[in-house]
Amino acid sequence: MAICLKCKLQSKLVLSFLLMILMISGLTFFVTYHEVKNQIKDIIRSDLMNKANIIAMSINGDLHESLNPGDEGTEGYKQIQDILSNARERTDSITYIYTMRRTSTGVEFVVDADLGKGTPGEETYIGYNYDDTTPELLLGFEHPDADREFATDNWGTFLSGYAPIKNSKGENVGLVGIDMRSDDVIKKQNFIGYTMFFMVGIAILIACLIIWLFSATIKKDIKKLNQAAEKISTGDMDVTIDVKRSDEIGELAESFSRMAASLKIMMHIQKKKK
Amino acid sequence: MSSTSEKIISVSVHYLGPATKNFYDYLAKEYMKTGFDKVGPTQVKEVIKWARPLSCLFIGKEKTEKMVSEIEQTASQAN
Repeated sequence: MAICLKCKLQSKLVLSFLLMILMISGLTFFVTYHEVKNQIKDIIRSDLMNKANIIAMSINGDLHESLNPGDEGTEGYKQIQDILSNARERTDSITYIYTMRRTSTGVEFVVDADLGKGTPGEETYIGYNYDDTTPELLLGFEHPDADREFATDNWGTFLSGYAPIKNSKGENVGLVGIDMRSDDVIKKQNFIGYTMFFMVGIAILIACLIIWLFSATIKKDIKKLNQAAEKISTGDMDVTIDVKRSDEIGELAESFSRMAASLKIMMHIQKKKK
Repeated sequence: MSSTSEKIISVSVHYLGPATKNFYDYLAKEYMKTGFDKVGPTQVKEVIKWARPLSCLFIGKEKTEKMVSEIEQTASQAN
């Protein structure tokens, strides 16, 4: 505070405005960023749900129901696998795409888009049990849903969307699951964060520049008034104050001019009297 | 103080400042040989005749012309 009191007027103005802008924009940034992050996650969830639902609707539920362990080489399996593979090719940022069904003990994989195409060890076969179920995955057997939070399993950390597969009777006989890596979700969230941060930074810079220019004109005019006052104090009444503004500083300059004129008049009268 | 002299002062004070009254008292006494308080509407032209060169010494030509035209305007409205 003591340091600031010693500062020049221009520095004080710029500093105080800068502090004010930083506080307002900082608060706005953090509140908005948090909200935007959640909004982006919601948009991605909704997108995953919709995509899973579209894929699920194109899968023959009766065929899916009929697949048993060891049927990985059959035409029926390949038909569903092609649907999943084609869907993934058309979709950005989808890492895994698969179908599942309920069993008496839990949930098992049925068709994997990566079987025979992906990295060995990451593929799943018909009947491969899945133990890391989330509440949203289980709800996905009833209606389209997506994970509210990132879920971690043997394949990594993902945000997943699910949609039920129906047979010809309209019964839910399985689900389509699509996984998006958490890194991709975070990348999308961060992109918005960086963009906002950049824009706030630019806005602060522009505001600082405007304040700097504004305070520079005030400083310049106050300097002119100061120089005129110095001149008058030395007895030189022949001063002209070149300040053309319509604000309080302009009014001060006008008052100053009138004072100088009055002093000149009084000195002239006194001189004539002598 | 006459209403004419009051009007002249009310206009001029924006240019000459607090010594306006002294300025016109001096001007009337030295050049018009009368008291400024007694100046009437018919003497406005004479006041301007003397005020113009004298105020030029203190506030410059540009401001003087502005002040004079305002005095003329106010005087003509009063008439």
